Amino acid sequence: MRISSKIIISSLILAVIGLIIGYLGYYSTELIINIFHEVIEEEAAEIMTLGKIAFLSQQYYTYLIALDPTNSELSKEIEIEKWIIVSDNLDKEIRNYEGLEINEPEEAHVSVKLKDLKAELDDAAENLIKAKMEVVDEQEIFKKKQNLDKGLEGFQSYVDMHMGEEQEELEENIEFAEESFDNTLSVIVLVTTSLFIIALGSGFIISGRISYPLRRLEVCASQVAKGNFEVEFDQKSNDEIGRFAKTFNSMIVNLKKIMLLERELGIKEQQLKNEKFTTIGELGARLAHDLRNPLSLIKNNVELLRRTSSDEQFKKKSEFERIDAAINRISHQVENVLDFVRDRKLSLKETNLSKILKSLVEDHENKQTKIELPQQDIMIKCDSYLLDIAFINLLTNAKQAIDKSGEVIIRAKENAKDVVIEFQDSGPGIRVENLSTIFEPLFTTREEGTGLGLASCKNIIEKHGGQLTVSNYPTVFRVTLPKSEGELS
Amino acid sequence: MKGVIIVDDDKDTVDTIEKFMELENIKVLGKGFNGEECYQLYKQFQPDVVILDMKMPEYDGAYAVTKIKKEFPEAKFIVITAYTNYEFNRGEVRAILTKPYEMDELIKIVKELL
Repeated sequence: MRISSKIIISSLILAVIGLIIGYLGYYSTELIINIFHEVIEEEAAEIMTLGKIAFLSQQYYTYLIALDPTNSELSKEIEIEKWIIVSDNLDKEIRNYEGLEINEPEEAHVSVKLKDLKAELDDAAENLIKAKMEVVDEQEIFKKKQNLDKGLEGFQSYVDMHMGEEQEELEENIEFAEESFDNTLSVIVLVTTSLFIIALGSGFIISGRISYPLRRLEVCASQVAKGNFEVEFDQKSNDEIGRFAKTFNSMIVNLKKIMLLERELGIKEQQLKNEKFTTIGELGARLAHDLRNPLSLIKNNVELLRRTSSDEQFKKKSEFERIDAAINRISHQVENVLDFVRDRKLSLKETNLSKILKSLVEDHENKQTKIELPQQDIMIKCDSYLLDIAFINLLTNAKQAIDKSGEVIIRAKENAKDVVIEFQDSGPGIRVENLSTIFEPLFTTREEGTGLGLASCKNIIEKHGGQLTVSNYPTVFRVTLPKSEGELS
Repeated sequence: MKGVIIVDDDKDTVDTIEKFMELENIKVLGKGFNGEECYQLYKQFQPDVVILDMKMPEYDGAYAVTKIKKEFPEAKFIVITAYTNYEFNRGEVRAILTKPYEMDELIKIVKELL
């Protein structure tokens, strides 16, 4: 299952549970409040009605007692009328109570009993009124009043008793409602707390299941970044991370293959290059040897011709010089090849570099070459024979690049670590596509070039632990030689 | 003065040097074309100087130098070679000339050694 689905589903479950609990809490609370409301209202109405009944019964009695037999007929009648009103009100309240009792049929006997007791009271009252109106005698009136007192006591005690019961019931209901509230509240608190814990726990579990493999992946990836392809991201789960682990692992395997392939290619390339060099070396050496023999023969036989001739004019012919010059040129080419192929060990000596450069310019003097040197002579430990070959090559190259109005500047500088010698020419520059191959052996843009001059220079400079670089506009070949012996290869 | 022997696998070279020696009145005692012939010639004539080429088929110049020096430690060699990387022990040979060389220089050295 996907992690996102897991997160969505678990959050959905939690949300639904939360929603259900919220609604349950809301409805149960509303239910309890409604029940409480109804019950209390009913109970309160009953108690209030009973209270009114108790009050009216007392009034009822008061008017009867107040009825004075000695008073005028009119005032008696007024008193009686007041009593009748109170009595009617009492009846009305009893009926009210009866109405309230309809909701509780099992308790309907109360109103029945009240009606009975009221009827008895009415009888006793009517008897008393009669006695008082007719003014029978004190004894008779007292007797009737006692009857009424008894009836009233029975009525009121019943009402009191019943009111007590109702009050008890009300208290019980209130207690029950409070308990229900408490229970609902504890259920809500309990469920919410557990929900919170579940949410927190699942959050931790889910984030752990994501972040733990991610941390391991980080360790794995950093190992790969360091070039260790022997690692594996071990994750068997069937989710995105599990699938990612598979992809990641196959990526490592493929990277490893590519790296191995590249390494192999690199080795092969180097081998090819070495073979190329070896072939060049062998060919060059053989060619040089093969050329030197006939060259030597030509040179010596020309000399022989000259010496053995009896013709003095012939001996002085300029052709001999030209032949000699041509032979020397071929010989120089051969030297060039041999300089490159010969694996000569460096013979290091403390050398005055300024002097080498000065004599280089003097030997190849033309007015187009300038030299810029620091006042103090530059001293460096080097193989002066080889460096001289390199400098001659670089100067020759520079001179070949310029036309009649151009110039070559040889510049030497010294800093704490290196000596830098620059060969700058005012020529047209090197074509961009040739910049990267210019130091490759056999690369040449001139018909008479061997393609070995710059390669040989680079070889010599690098043997000294230095660098030969080139930059365009203006064209500058820059030789950097380390001063410290330790950097010599 | 006895003279020299000239050994080179190239007959033209041997002949050219011979001509020069004759011009300089230096006696050429023998001519050879490989190391073994050089040894045989040396044993036969014991010349003042051996003008010797290094690279020759079968028995090369180094072979001749070693073999002759063993029997005749006083033998004097002038080595002429197209190669510059031959290494000899000090005193084994008197001079090494690299082709193409100036004939005057060879004559000068030969004369010194006679």
